[in-house]
Amino acid sequence: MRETALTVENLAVSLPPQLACSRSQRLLNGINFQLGHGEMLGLVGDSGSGKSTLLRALARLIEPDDGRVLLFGRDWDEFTPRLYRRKVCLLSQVPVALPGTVEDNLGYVFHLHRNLPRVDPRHLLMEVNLPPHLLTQNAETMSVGEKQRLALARALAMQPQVLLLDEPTSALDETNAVQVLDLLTAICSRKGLSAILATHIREHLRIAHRKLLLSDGEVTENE
Amino acid sequence: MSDFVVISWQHVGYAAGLSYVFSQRSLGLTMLIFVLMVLVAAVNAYTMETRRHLSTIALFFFTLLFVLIIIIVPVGKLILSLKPWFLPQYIIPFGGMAIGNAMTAGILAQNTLRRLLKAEQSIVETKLALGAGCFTSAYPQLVASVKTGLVPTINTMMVVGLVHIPGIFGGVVLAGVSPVEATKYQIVVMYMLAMGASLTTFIVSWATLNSLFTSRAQLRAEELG
Ligand SMILES: Nc1ncnc2c1ncn2[C@@H]1O[C@H](COP(=O)(O)OP(=O)(O)O)[C@@H](O)[C@H]1O
Ligand SMILES: [Mg+2]
Repeated sequence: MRETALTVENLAVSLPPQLACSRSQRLLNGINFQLGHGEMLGLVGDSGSGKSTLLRALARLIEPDDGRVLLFGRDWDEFTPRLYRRKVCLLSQVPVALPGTVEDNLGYVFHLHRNLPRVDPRHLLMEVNLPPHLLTQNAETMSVGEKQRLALARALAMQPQVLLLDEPTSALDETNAVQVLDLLTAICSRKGLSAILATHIREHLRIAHRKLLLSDGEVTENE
Repeated sequence: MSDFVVISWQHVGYAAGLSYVFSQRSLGLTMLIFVLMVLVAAVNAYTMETRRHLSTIALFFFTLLFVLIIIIVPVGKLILSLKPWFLPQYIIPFGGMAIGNAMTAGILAQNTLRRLLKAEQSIVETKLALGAGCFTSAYPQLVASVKTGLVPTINTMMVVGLVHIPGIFGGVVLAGVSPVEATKYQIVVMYMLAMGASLTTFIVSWATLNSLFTSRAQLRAEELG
Protein backbone atom coordinates (compact mmCIF):
# COMPACT_ATOMS: atom_id res chain seq x y z
CA MET A 1 0.00 0.00 0.00
CA ARG A 2 1.33 3.40 -0.88
CA GLU A 3 1.84 6.24 1.58
CA THR A 4 -0.93 8.82 2.01
CA ALA A 5 0.07 12.36 1.06
CA LEU A 6 -3.10 14.12 2.13
CA THR A 7 -5.85 12.90 4.44
CA VAL A 8 -8.95 15.09 4.43
CA GLU A 9 -11.17 14.51 7.44
CA ASN A 10 -14.70 15.81 7.68
CA LEU A 11 -13.93 19.14 6.04
CA ALA A 12 -16.84 21.60 6.15
CA VAL A 13 -16.84 25.12 4.77
CA SER A 14 -19.61 27.71 4.91
CA LEU A 15 -19.89 31.24 3.60
CA PRO A 16 -18.65 33.95 5.94
CA PRO A 17 -21.65 35.21 7.99
CA GLN A 18 -21.59 38.59 6.22
CA LEU A 19 -22.30 36.93 2.88
CA ALA A 20 -24.56 34.07 3.92
CA CYS A 21 -28.25 34.24 3.13
CA SER A 22 -30.82 33.73 5.88
CA ARG A 23 -30.41 29.95 5.88
CA SER A 24 -26.99 28.87 7.06
CA GLN A 25 -25.72 27.45 3.82
CA ARG A 26 -22.72 25.18 3.63
CA LEU A 27 -20.46 25.29 0.61
CA LEU A 28 -18.84 22.00 1.59
CA ASN A 29 -20.34 19.36 3.84
CA GLY A 30 -18.12 16.89 5.67
CA ILE A 31 -15.65 16.01 2.92
CA ASN A 32 -13.55 12.87 3.51
CA PHE A 33 -10.96 11.42 1.17
CA GLN A 34 -7.32 10.50 0.87
CA LEU A 35 -4.70 11.38 -1.71
CA GLY A 36 -1.96 8.80 -2.18
CA HIS A 37 1.70 9.69 -2.58
CA GLY A 38 2.37 10.21 -6.28
CA GLU A 39 -1.31 9.94 -7.10
CA MET A 40 -3.17 12.19 -9.53
CA LEU A 41 -6.68 12.51 -8.17
CA GLY A 42 -9.38 13.91 -10.45
CA LEU A 43 -11.97 16.15 -8.82
CA VAL A 44 -14.94 16.48 -11.11
CA GLY A 45 -18.11 18.45 -10.61
CA ASP A 46 -20.31 20.94 -12.35
CA SER A 47 -19.55 24.60 -12.24
CA GLY A 48 -20.54 25.87 -8.81
CA SER A 49 -20.28 22.49 -7.10
CA GLY A 50 -17.51 23.74 -4.82
CA LYS A 51 -14.29 22.54 -6.48
CA SER A 52 -12.49 25.86 -6.10
CA THR A 53 -13.76 26.21 -2.56
CA LEU A 54 -12.41 22.77 -1.66
CA LEU A 55 -8.99 23.46 -3.16
CA ARG A 56 -8.79 26.87 -1.47
CA ALA A 57 -9.68 25.22 1.83
CA LEU A 58 -7.03 22.55 1.27
CA ALA A 59 -4.44 25.31 0.72
CA ARG A 60 -5.95 26.84 3.85
CA LEU A 61 -6.63 30.15 2.13
CA ILE A 62 -10.09 29.92 3.66
CA GLU A 63 -10.65 28.49 7.10
CA PRO A 64 -13.04 25.54 7.32
CA ASP A 65 -15.64 25.53 10.11
CA ASP A 66 -14.86 21.95 10.85
CA GLY A 67 -12.49 19.15 9.97
CA ARG A 68 -8.78 18.94 9.37
CA VAL A 69 -6.15 17.88 6.90
CA LEU A 70 -3.14 15.64 7.52
CA LEU A 71 -0.08 16.10 5.35
CA PHE A 72 1.91 12.86 5.37
CA GLY A 73 0.27 12.04 8.67
CA ARG A 74 0.94 15.38 10.34
CA ASP A 75 -1.96 17.66 11.29
CA TRP A 76 -1.87 20.93 9.32
CA ASP A 77 -1.83 22.88 12.59
CA GLU A 78 1.69 21.59 13.14
CA PHE A 79 2.93 23.63 10.16
CA THR A 80 3.29 27.37 9.87
CA PRO A 81 1.04 28.74 7.08
CA ARG A 82 4.20 29.54 5.17
CA LEU A 83 5.60 26.00 5.33
CA TYR A 84 2.23 24.35 4.76
CA ARG A 85 1.58 26.40 1.63
CA ARG A 86 5.06 25.71 0.33
CA LYS A 87 4.33 21.99 0.58
CA VAL A 88 0.68 22.12 -0.56
CA CYS A 89 0.65 24.52 -3.46
CA LEU A 90 -2.49 25.89 -5.10
CA LEU A 91 -2.61 26.92 -8.75
CA SER A 92 -5.65 29.16 -9.00
CA GLN A 93 -8.32 28.80 -11.66
CA VAL A 94 -7.25 32.02 -13.38
CA PRO A 95 -3.44 32.12 -13.52
CA VAL A 96 -2.06 35.24 -11.88
CA ALA A 97 1.23 36.85 -12.90
CA LEU A 98 2.73 39.01 -10.18
CA PRO A 99 3.82 42.51 -11.25
CA GLY A 100 7.27 42.51 -12.85
CA THR A 101 9.12 40.31 -15.26
CA VAL A 102 8.95 36.54 -15.58
CA GLU A 103 12.26 36.37 -13.73
CA ASP A 104 10.82 38.48 -10.88
CA ASN A 105 7.91 36.07 -10.67
CA LEU A 106 10.18 33.08 -10.28
CA GLY A 107 12.56 34.93 -8.00
CA TYR A 108 9.71 35.85 -5.65
CA VAL A 109 9.60 32.26 -4.42
CA PHE A 110 13.28 32.29 -3.46
CA HIS A 111 12.83 35.70 -1.88
CA LEU A 112 10.06 34.25 0.33
CA HIS A 113 11.69 30.92 1.10
CA ARG A 114 15.34 31.71 1.59
CA ASN A 115 16.39 28.21 2.56
CA LEU A 116 15.11 26.70 -0.70
CA PRO A 117 17.92 25.63 -3.03
CA ARG A 118 18.09 28.23 -5.78
CA VAL A 119 17.27 26.86 -9.19
CA ASP A 120 18.27 28.55 -12.43
CA PRO A 121 15.12 30.33 -13.67
CA ARG A 122 15.97 29.22 -17.22
CA HIS A 123 15.79 25.65 -16.04
CA LEU A 124 12.42 26.27 -14.38
CA LEU A 125 11.04 27.68 -17.64
CA MET A 126 12.40 24.75 -19.61
CA GLU A 127 10.56 22.34 -17.34
CA VAL A 128 7.24 23.87 -18.33
CA ASN A 129 8.13 24.23 -22.02
CA LEU A 130 8.56 27.99 -22.00
CA PRO A 131 11.46 29.47 -24.00
CA PRO A 132 14.19 31.07 -21.84
CA HIS A 133 14.04 34.39 -23.72
CA LEU A 134 10.74 35.10 -21.91
CA LEU A 135 12.68 35.75 -18.68
CA THR A 136 12.92 39.49 -19.27
CA GLN A 137 9.34 39.86 -20.49
CA ASN A 138 6.71 41.64 -18.42
CA ALA A 139 4.75 38.73 -16.97
CA GLU A 140 1.43 40.60 -17.06
CA THR A 141 1.56 40.85 -20.86
CA MET A 142 1.86 37.10 -21.38
CA SER A 143 -0.96 35.02 -22.84
CA VAL A 144 -3.16 33.03 -20.47
CA GLY A 145 -1.54 29.79 -21.53
CA GLU A 146 1.91 31.20 -20.84
CA LYS A 147 0.76 32.54 -17.48
CA GLN A 148 -0.58 29.10 -16.64
CA ARG A 149 2.85 27.59 -17.33
CA LEU A 150 4.59 30.39 -15.46
CA ALA A 151 2.36 29.75 -12.44
CA LEU A 152 3.28 26.07 -12.67
CA ALA A 153 6.99 26.88 -12.89
CA ARG A 154 6.65 29.20 -9.89
CA ALA A 155 4.92 26.45 -7.94
CA LEU A 156 7.56 23.87 -8.89
CA ALA A 157 10.30 26.20 -7.67
CA MET A 158 8.85 25.73 -4.18
CA GLN A 159 9.45 21.96 -4.39
CA PRO A 160 5.94 21.18 -3.17
CA GLN A 161 4.68 17.75 -2.13
CA VAL A 162 1.09 18.28 -3.26
CA LEU A 163 -0.18 20.34 -6.20
CA LEU A 164 -3.76 21.61 -6.13
CA LEU A 165 -4.70 22.31 -9.74
CA ASP A 166 -7.89 24.32 -10.10
CA GLU A 167 -9.12 23.81 -13.67
CA PRO A 168 -5.67 24.35 -15.18
CA THR A 169 -7.15 23.98 -18.65
CA SER A 170 -10.23 26.16 -18.31
CA ALA A 171 -8.71 29.25 -19.90
CA LEU A 172 -6.95 27.34 -22.70
CA ASP A 173 -7.92 26.22 -26.17
CA GLU A 174 -8.07 22.48 -26.81
CA THR A 175 -4.52 22.14 -28.21
CA ASN A 176 -3.02 24.06 -25.30
CA ALA A 177 -5.20 22.16 -22.82
CA VAL A 178 -3.91 18.81 -24.04
CA GLN A 179 -0.33 20.08 -23.92
CA VAL A 180 -0.71 21.36 -20.37
CA LEU A 181 -2.33 18.11 -19.21
CA ASP A 182 0.48 16.05 -20.74
CA LEU A 183 3.01 18.38 -19.16
CA LEU A 184 1.37 17.98 -15.75
CA THR A 185 1.33 14.21 -16.04
CA ALA A 186 4.99 14.13 -17.02
CA ILE A 187 6.10 16.48 -14.24
CA CYS A 188 4.10 14.78 -11.51
CA SER A 189 5.28 11.30 -12.36
CA ARG A 190 8.90 12.44 -12.81
CA LYS A 191 8.97 14.24 -9.45
CA GLY A 192 6.70 11.83 -7.62
CA LEU A 193 4.27 14.67 -6.88
CA SER A 194 0.77 14.09 -5.61
CA ALA A 195 -1.89 16.25 -7.23
CA ILE A 196 -5.58 17.02 -7.21
CA LEU A 197 -6.89 18.06 -10.60
CA ALA A 198 -10.21 19.86 -10.48
CA THR A 199 -12.16 20.09 -13.71
CA HIS A 200 -15.68 20.14 -15.04
CA ILE A 201 -14.60 18.46 -18.29
CA ARG A 202 -14.71 14.67 -17.85
CA GLU A 203 -12.41 13.95 -20.82
CA HIS A 204 -9.62 15.75 -19.01
CA LEU A 205 -9.79 13.16 -16.26
CA ARG A 206 -8.03 10.62 -18.48
CA ILE A 207 -4.75 11.59 -16.83
CA ALA A 208 -6.18 10.96 -13.33
CA HIS A 209 -5.54 7.68 -11.51
CA ARG A 210 -8.77 7.94 -9.55
CA LYS A 211 -11.63 10.41 -9.41
CA LEU A 212 -13.93 12.06 -6.90
CA LEU A 213 -17.30 13.43 -7.90
CA LEU A 214 -18.32 16.57 -6.10
CA SER A 215 -21.89 17.74 -6.22
CA ASP A 216 -23.62 20.28 -4.02
CA GLY A 217 -20.71 20.39 -1.63
CA GLU A 218 -20.56 16.64 -1.04
CA VAL A 219 -18.41 13.87 -2.41
CA THR A 220 -20.89 11.51 -4.00
CA GLU A 221 -18.66 9.07 -5.83
CA ASN A 222 -15.28 7.73 -4.92
CA GLU A 223 -13.89 5.28 -7.41
CA MET B 1 -33.53 75.42 3.27
CA SER B 2 -34.33 73.70 6.54
CA ASP B 3 -30.88 72.08 6.54
CA PHE B 4 -29.36 75.50 6.20
CA VAL B 5 -31.35 76.78 9.19
CA VAL B 6 -30.31 73.81 11.33
CA ILE B 7 -26.67 74.26 10.43
CA SER B 8 -26.81 77.98 11.19
CA TRP B 9 -28.34 77.41 14.60
CA GLN B 10 -25.76 74.73 15.32
CA HIS B 11 -23.06 77.26 14.56
CA VAL B 12 -24.61 79.88 16.80
CA GLY B 13 -24.92 77.39 19.64
CA TYR B 14 -21.39 76.17 19.11
CA ALA B 15 -20.02 79.70 19.06
CA ALA B 16 -21.86 80.60 22.26
CA GLY B 17 -20.57 77.42 23.92
CA LEU B 18 -17.04 78.10 22.79
CA SER B 19 -16.96 81.65 24.11
CA TYR B 20 -18.01 80.21 27.46
CA VAL B 21 -15.20 77.63 27.30
CA PHE B 22 -12.73 80.35 26.29
CA SER B 23 -13.71 82.43 29.33
CA GLN B 24 -13.41 79.50 31.74
CA ARG B 25 -9.83 78.39 31.00
CA SER B 26 -10.54 74.99 32.52
CA LEU B 27 -8.38 72.04 31.56
CA GLY B 28 -11.22 69.59 32.15
CA LEU B 29 -13.63 71.53 29.96
CA THR B 30 -11.05 71.89 27.18
CA MET B 31 -10.36 68.18 27.24
CA LEU B 32 -14.09 67.45 27.20
CA ILE B 33 -14.42 69.55 24.04
CA PHE B 34 -11.55 67.61 22.50
CA VAL B 35 -13.08 64.26 23.40
CA LEU B 36 -16.33 65.36 21.74
CA MET B 37 -14.48 66.56 18.63
CA VAL B 38 -12.56 63.30 18.39
CA LEU B 39 -15.76 61.33 18.83
CA VAL B 40 -17.45 63.28 16.02
CA ALA B 41 -14.40 62.69 13.80
CA ALA B 42 -14.42 58.96 14.61
CA VAL B 43 -18.13 58.65 13.81
CA ASN B 44 -17.49 60.56 10.60
CA ALA B 45 -14.78 58.07 9.63
CA TYR B 46 -17.31 55.30 10.23
CA THR B 47 -20.01 56.91 8.09
CA MET B 48 -17.49 57.44 5.26
CA GLU B 49 -16.93 53.69 4.92
CA THR B 50 -18.52 51.87 2.00
CA ARG B 51 -18.93 48.78 4.13
CA ARG B 52 -19.27 49.96 7.71
CA HIS B 53 -17.39 48.43 10.61
CA LEU B 54 -18.17 49.59 14.15
CA SER B 55 -14.55 48.88 15.08
CA THR B 56 -13.59 51.88 12.91
CA ILE B 57 -15.10 54.20 15.52
CA ALA B 58 -12.91 52.76 18.26
CA LEU B 59 -9.83 52.75 16.03
CA PHE B 60 -10.22 56.39 15.02
CA PHE B 61 -11.30 57.52 18.50
CA PHE B 62 -8.21 56.18 20.25
CA THR B 63 -5.80 56.99 17.43
CA LEU B 64 -6.98 60.59 17.07
CA LEU B 65 -7.01 61.14 20.83
CA PHE B 66 -3.47 59.81 21.14
CA VAL B 67 -2.24 61.86 18.19
CA LEU B 68 -4.01 64.99 19.46
CA ILE B 69 -2.41 64.77 22.88
CA ILE B 70 1.10 64.24 21.61
CA ILE B 71 0.65 67.28 19.35
CA ILE B 72 -1.09 69.83 21.55
CA VAL B 73 1.04 69.36 24.65
CA PRO B 74 4.35 70.34 23.01
CA VAL B 75 2.68 73.03 20.90
CA GLY B 76 1.01 74.65 23.92
CA LYS B 77 3.91 74.26 26.33
CA LEU B 78 7.00 74.74 24.18
CA ILE B 79 6.16 76.25 20.82
CA LEU B 80 3.48 78.81 21.60
CA SER B 81 4.39 78.94 25.35
CA LEU B 82 0.78 79.60 26.26
CA LYS B 83 -0.16 80.48 29.85
CA PRO B 84 -1.80 78.15 30.84
CA TRP B 85 -0.51 75.74 28.20
CA PHE B 86 -4.06 74.71 27.23
CA LEU B 87 -5.29 78.29 26.70
CA PRO B 88 -8.57 77.38 24.97
CA GLN B 89 -8.60 80.30 22.48
CA TYR B 90 -5.46 78.86 20.87
CA ILE B 91 -5.44 75.22 21.68
CA ILE B 92 -9.03 74.40 20.68
CA PRO B 93 -8.82 75.78 17.13
CA PHE B 94 -5.37 74.27 16.74
CA GLY B 95 -6.50 70.94 18.12
CA GLY B 96 -9.48 71.06 15.80
CA MET B 97 -7.17 71.54 12.83
CA ALA B 98 -4.99 68.67 14.00
CA ILE B 99 -7.99 66.37 14.40
CA GLY B 100 -9.45 67.33 11.02
CA ASN B 101 -6.14 66.80 9.24
CA ALA B 102 -5.46 63.49 10.92
CA MET B 103 -9.02 62.28 10.35
CA THR B 104 -8.87 63.03 6.61
CA ALA B 105 -5.51 61.30 6.31
CA GLY B 106 -6.76 58.24 8.20
CA ILE B 107 -9.99 57.93 6.22
CA LEU B 108 -8.15 58.23 2.90
CA ALA B 109 -5.58 55.65 3.92
CA GLN B 110 -8.13 53.17 5.21
CA ASN B 111 -10.43 53.43 2.21
CA THR B 112 -7.52 53.21 -0.20
CA LEU B 113 -6.15 50.11 1.51
CA ARG B 114 -9.50 48.30 1.35
CA ARG B 115 -10.12 49.37 -2.25
CA LEU B 116 -6.66 48.31 -3.44
CA LEU B 117 -6.80 44.97 -1.64
CA LYS B 118 -10.15 44.29 -3.27
CA ALA B 119 -8.97 45.34 -6.73
CA GLU B 120 -5.75 43.34 -6.36
CA GLN B 121 -7.20 40.47 -4.36
CA SER B 122 -6.01 37.81 -6.80
CA ILE B 123 -2.44 39.08 -6.61
CA VAL B 124 -2.51 39.22 -2.81
CA GLU B 125 -3.97 35.72 -2.59
CA THR B 126 -1.43 34.41 -5.08
CA LYS B 127 1.32 35.67 -2.82
CA LEU B 128 -0.38 34.11 0.20
CA ALA B 129 -0.66 30.83 -1.68
CA LEU B 130 3.07 30.98 -2.33
CA GLY B 131 3.60 31.18 1.43
CA ALA B 132 3.97 34.94 1.92
CA GLY B 133 2.78 36.43 5.21
CA CYS B 134 0.02 39.03 5.32
CA PHE B 135 2.42 41.96 5.59
CA THR B 136 4.54 40.78 2.65
CA SER B 137 1.50 40.01 0.52
CA ALA B 138 -0.10 43.40 1.04
CA TYR B 139 3.04 45.52 1.23
CA PRO B 140 2.56 47.42 -2.08
CA GLN B 141 -1.06 48.20 -1.19
CA LEU B 142 -0.03 49.30 2.30
CA VAL B 143 2.58 51.70 0.91
CA ALA B 144 0.12 53.10 -1.63
CA SER B 145 -2.52 53.72 1.02
CA VAL B 146 -0.06 55.49 3.34
CA LYS B 147 1.01 57.71 0.43
CA THR B 148 -2.59 58.51 -0.49
CA GLY B 149 -3.41 59.37 3.12
CA LEU B 150 -0.60 61.91 3.17
CA VAL B 151 -1.44 63.62 -0.13
CA PRO B 152 -3.64 66.42 1.32
CA THR B 153 -1.13 67.20 4.08
CA ILE B 154 1.84 67.29 1.73
CA ASN B 155 -0.03 69.43 -0.79
CA THR B 156 -0.95 71.90 1.93
CA MET B 157 2.65 72.06 3.11
CA MET B 158 3.90 72.77 -0.39
CA VAL B 159 1.68 75.79 -0.94
CA VAL B 160 1.56 77.09 2.62
CA GLY B 161 2.09 80.83 2.78
CA LEU B 162 1.27 81.30 -0.88
CA VAL B 163 -2.22 79.94 -1.14
CA HIS B 164 -3.21 79.30 2.46
CA ILE B 165 -3.16 82.13 4.95
CA PRO B 166 -3.01 79.70 7.79
CA GLY B 167 -5.12 80.17 10.89
CA ILE B 168 -2.43 80.38 13.53
CA PHE B 169 -0.39 82.83 11.45
CA GLY B 170 -3.36 85.16 10.98
CA GLY B 171 -4.34 84.94 14.63
CA VAL B 172 -0.87 85.59 16.00
CA VAL B 173 -0.24 88.52 13.63
CA LEU B 174 -3.56 90.06 14.60
CA ALA B 175 -2.56 89.63 18.24
CA GLY B 176 0.50 91.82 17.59
CA VAL B 177 3.32 89.34 16.96
CA SER B 178 5.70 90.30 14.14
CA PRO B 179 5.08 88.42 10.87
CA VAL B 180 8.60 86.94 10.99
CA GLU B 181 7.96 85.42 14.42
CA ALA B 182 4.55 84.29 13.26
CA THR B 183 6.11 82.51 10.29
CA LYS B 184 8.31 80.49 12.65
CA TYR B 185 5.27 79.42 14.65
CA GLN B 186 3.50 78.59 11.47
CA ILE B 187 6.25 76.36 10.16
CA VAL B 188 6.53 74.42 13.39
CA VAL B 189 2.77 74.13 13.62
CA MET B 190 2.60 72.84 10.04
CA TYR B 191 5.18 70.21 10.89
CA MET B 192 3.19 69.18 13.92
CA LEU B 193 0.04 68.82 11.82
CA ALA B 194 1.95 66.80 9.24
CA MET B 195 3.37 64.58 11.95
CA GLY B 196 -0.12 64.00 13.33
CA ALA B 197 -1.44 63.08 9.91
CA SER B 198 1.48 60.72 9.24
CA LEU B 199 1.17 59.03 12.59
CA THR B 200 -2.57 58.56 12.10
CA THR B 201 -2.02 57.18 8.63
CA PHE B 202 0.53 54.65 9.89
CA ILE B 203 -1.57 53.51 12.84
CA VAL B 204 -4.83 53.30 10.87
CA SER B 205 -3.27 51.51 7.88
CA TRP B 206 -1.46 49.06 10.09
CA ALA B 207 -4.51 48.30 12.23
CA THR B 208 -6.74 47.97 9.15
CA LEU B 209 -4.26 45.64 7.48
CA ASN B 210 -4.21 43.44 10.56
CA SER B 211 -8.00 43.39 10.75
CA LEU B 212 -8.20 42.20 7.13
CA PHE B 213 -6.09 39.07 7.67
CA THR B 214 -6.45 36.17 10.06
CA SER B 215 -3.58 34.87 12.16
CA ARG B 216 -3.30 32.00 9.66
CA ALA B 217 -2.45 34.43 6.84
CA GLN B 218 -5.89 34.29 5.24
CA LEU B 219 -7.38 37.35 3.57
CA ARG B 220 -10.83 38.21 4.96
CA ALA B 221 -12.16 39.00 1.50
CA GLU B 222 -15.67 39.56 2.85
CA GLU B 223 -14.44 42.55 4.87
CA LEU B 224 -13.12 44.41 1.84
CA GLY B 225 -14.90 47.20 0.03
N1 LIG C 1 -16.92 34.32 -1.55
C1 LIG C 1 -18.08 33.80 -1.99
N2 LIG C 1 -19.21 34.52 -1.93
C2 LIG C 1 -20.39 34.01 -2.34
N3 LIG C 1 -20.53 32.81 -2.85
C3 LIG C 1 -19.45 32.04 -2.96
C4 LIG C 1 -18.17 32.49 -2.52
N4 LIG C 1 -17.28 31.51 -2.75
C5 LIG C 1 -17.99 30.50 -3.30
N5 LIG C 1 -19.28 30.81 -3.41
C6 LIG C 1 -20.34 29.92 -3.95
O1 LIG C 1 -19.96 28.61 -3.66
C7 LIG C 1 -20.33 27.74 -4.70
C8 LIG C 1 -19.14 26.92 -5.14
O2 LIG C 1 -18.23 27.75 -5.82
P1 LIG C 1 -16.87 27.21 -6.42
O3 LIG C 1 -16.12 26.52 -5.33
O4 LIG C 1 -16.19 28.33 -7.09
O5 LIG C 1 -17.36 26.14 -7.48
P2 LIG C 1 -16.59 25.53 -8.72
O6 LIG C 1 -15.16 25.86 -8.60
O7 LIG C 1 -16.86 24.06 -8.59
O8 LIG C 1 -17.21 26.08 -9.94
C9 LIG C 1 -20.92 28.60 -5.80
O9 LIG C 1 -22.30 28.47 -5.75
C10 LIG C 1 -20.48 30.00 -5.43
O10 LIG C 1 -21.48 30.92 -5.81
MG1 LIG D 1 -13.92 26.86 -9.81
